[in-house]
Amino acid sequence: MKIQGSVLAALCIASLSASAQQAVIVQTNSRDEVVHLIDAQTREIIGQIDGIPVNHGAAAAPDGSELYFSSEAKITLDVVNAATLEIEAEIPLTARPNNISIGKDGRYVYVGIMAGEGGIDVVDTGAREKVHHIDTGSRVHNTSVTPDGRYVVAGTFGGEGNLDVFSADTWERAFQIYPPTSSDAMDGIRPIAFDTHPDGSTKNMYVQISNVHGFAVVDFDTHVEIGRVILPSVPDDQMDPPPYNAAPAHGIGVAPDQQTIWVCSRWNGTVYAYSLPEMKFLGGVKVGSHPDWISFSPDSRYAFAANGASDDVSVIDIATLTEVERIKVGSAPKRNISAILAR
Amino acid sequence: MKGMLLLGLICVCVNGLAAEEKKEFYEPGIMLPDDNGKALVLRSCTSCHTLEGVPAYSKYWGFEHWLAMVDNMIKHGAVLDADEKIVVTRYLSRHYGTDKE
Repeated sequence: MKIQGSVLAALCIASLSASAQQAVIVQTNSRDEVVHLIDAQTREIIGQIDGIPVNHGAAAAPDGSELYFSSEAKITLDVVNAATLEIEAEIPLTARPNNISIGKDGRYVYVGIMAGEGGIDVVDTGAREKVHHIDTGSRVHNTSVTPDGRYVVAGTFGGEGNLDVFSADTWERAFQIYPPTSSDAMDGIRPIAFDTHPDGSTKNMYVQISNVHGFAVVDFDTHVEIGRVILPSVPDDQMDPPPYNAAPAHGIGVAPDQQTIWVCSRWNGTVYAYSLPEMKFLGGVKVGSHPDWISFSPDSRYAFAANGASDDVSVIDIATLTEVERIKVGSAPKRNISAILAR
Repeated sequence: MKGMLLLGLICVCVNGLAAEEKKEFYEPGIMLPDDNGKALVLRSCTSCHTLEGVPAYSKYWGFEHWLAMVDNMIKHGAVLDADEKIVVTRYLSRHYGTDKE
């Protein structure tokens, strides 16, 4: 009887644990005040967060209890309770932010600062305040934390090197590559994706660069570009209309199983897939207008491409390379993340 | 493994940089109120982008915020002299900011 009780209790706990966690795609809307949550399996909108105008970047606490968003209009990092979807804190930032990322242990959020002197604001999620500013000497568009949690990587404009890498322990610069190639202020580094070695350390960075319709492959250990992939071109009358903001290809991601890499083409309104590590071209999937960012369901079954100009999200079946759904969201959806939320 | 990757890259890498295809001016995408500064906004902003994102800031930004944004846009290539910068900032903060009259 006692054993049965223990088993039942364990089952209840397991059941509660299973039902309390939900895999979602967190979809920002850059011209809106709302953020949408999309169930990563059913592909339905299951929640909405209000009150974050011109929301740019999103990040999730590793335990799924909180979400973080940068607001370009409020110039804050907003902390949202993942269960209630209410804003619990609005943390002032140095200047107008762009994209954000979170450390592997969830203690710090790294906010790219695009206006003023730029740099990276470091926000302590426990204290809910900005505790440090990394001076990059450049305007920071996107920040990423490497999969092993050891480095903070910034894609920047201006400065001396537009791919700027810092230790996540000391916040000191580890290395810096890609100096600006022209005086054009839009010359810089755009989104970056990563894959890992079997031991979990970072293997390659897949780097999108202003005015390049493709991406570069950079060996993380040697800091050397080992190749460059240019996406297919299409006839002019099949291209998405401009403006492209000097980013013909914007949005790149490695699927969680690390078998494929997916790349958004604003020019073509198409997402292209390549196999890893062979980098064999697998095909393209026509999506909405101006695909800008891409995330994945945790099981690598679906990719979710945010279409900035058609206000929707394309759901792509990875195995068949087909668009299976287009979900209407807010105005100008751009950054999205995959997260396991405690709900 | 690296050899396979490089072989793949050689196969798909056909050219290098892609030039931005730019229109002379984009449609603003919103109805701009007639006022001093409208023509400057159209000239300096829509040479690079539409203005559809501007109203999202209306409830939050005053003159100083818009000034910082215009300064940033000048860093991004907007062509405005010092006087024009102020005219554009006043227009934006008056019609798309908290300084509404």
